Amino acid sequence: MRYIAVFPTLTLAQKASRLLRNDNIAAEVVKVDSSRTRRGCSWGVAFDEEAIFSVRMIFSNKSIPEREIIKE
Amino acid sequence: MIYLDNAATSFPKPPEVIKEMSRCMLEYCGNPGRGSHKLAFAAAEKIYDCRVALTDLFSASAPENVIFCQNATAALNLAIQALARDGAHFICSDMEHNSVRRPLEYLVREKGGSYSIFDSHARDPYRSPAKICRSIASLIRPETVAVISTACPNICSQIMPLDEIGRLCKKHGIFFIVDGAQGAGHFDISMERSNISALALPGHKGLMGPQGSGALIVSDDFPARPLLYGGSGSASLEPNMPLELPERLEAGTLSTPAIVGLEAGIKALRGIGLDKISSHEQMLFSKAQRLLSEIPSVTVYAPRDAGAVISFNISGIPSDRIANLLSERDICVRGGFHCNPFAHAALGSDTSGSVRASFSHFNTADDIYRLAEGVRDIARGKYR
Repeated sequence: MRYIAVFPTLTLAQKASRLLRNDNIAAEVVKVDSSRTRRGCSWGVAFDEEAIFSVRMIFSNKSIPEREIIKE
Repeated sequence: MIYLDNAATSFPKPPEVIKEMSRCMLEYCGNPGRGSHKLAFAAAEKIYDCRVALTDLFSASAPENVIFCQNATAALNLAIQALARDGAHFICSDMEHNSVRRPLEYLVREKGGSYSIFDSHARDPYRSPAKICRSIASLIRPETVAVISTACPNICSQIMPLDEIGRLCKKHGIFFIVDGAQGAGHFDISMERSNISALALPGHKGLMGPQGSGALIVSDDFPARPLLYGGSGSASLEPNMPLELPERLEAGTLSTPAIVGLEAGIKALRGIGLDKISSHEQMLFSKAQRLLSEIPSVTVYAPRDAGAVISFNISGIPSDRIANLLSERDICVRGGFHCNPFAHAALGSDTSGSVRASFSHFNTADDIYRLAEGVRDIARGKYR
């Protein structure tokens, strides 16, 4: 299963995905299903569930402002 | 053809720029940040690459602080108008292009703002960073919001002391806006070292990219106030622009071919090396300065400086006429006032304008000899 970290903009999602990839975490920028967000088009970074703790730690350390993490 | 009008736009472009722009148009020119198909993502990734390249080149704080614009003028308007409020006071140099002067005049006329002009001591043989900073400091008022300075003017190679001006701005808690039009790609500009709050860049001059590319890079504390409103590819159900950079300031579709061309230009520039480019241009300047100064009736402006731009006049011949005569010899220079009446006034060429020759890494010493030969012939009346 994969999770998606949701970001307010595509650029922030790209930044987050590259940080994860630099840490050897497989990460893919995706467009989040509009029905799952309240703001309309949103972007996210999809990653495998086993990486979730590392992902949260990297985002926290690098002050990456994800809105939420949802199941894909 | 000898091209010496690189301050207007650089030419030729590195082959890598043309190749990448063609590849984009042929293979991946989707609309970045809109759809979720492969072409849209491929374009978006290349655009992010360019944000990273600009962040690295100018020691900016983050790729999301790079806002793509069509040119430096658009970037300067965005930066200046972000700070516009009732009574806001700006300080700019006496070397600023109309891309700074006209937005400031607009603020005076329409928004109740004001501005003062600091003396860059262009003709002062004892000019120093301290002297320039004293001239700025004397103009700072409680309502001053920013100092605006070019990195280097477009009619002479007077490199401004950005580090010292940045320190002064930091000390007084005011923003520092830099017009990088003639500095970027010619010498090192560091937002971090010079405490620059907003750096306006054309992509098509020293950065070797195509026309239509440019950027404003801002510091983390610079206010992000849109000038354009529209689609941003995110938060699309909301009535307002997103709060986050760069999308907040990038309404509408970006020019992917121009931006990938700019990234290729930056790569080419880094491949050559900024130090090598700077020293080559200084060598060309020194030759031009020496050869032109030897010609009777030629005045060279700001001859002490050394960089990518040199301006001169031949006594009794209008500058546009000289440029036209040189064009007949297949030498491309620019005559007139170069959209910069402030700098011409500061250099003493405010009634005549001047002829400007501006160099790039691709010019050779032979180009300079041909220029001097042409100017010598014109001064002797050979073309009149």
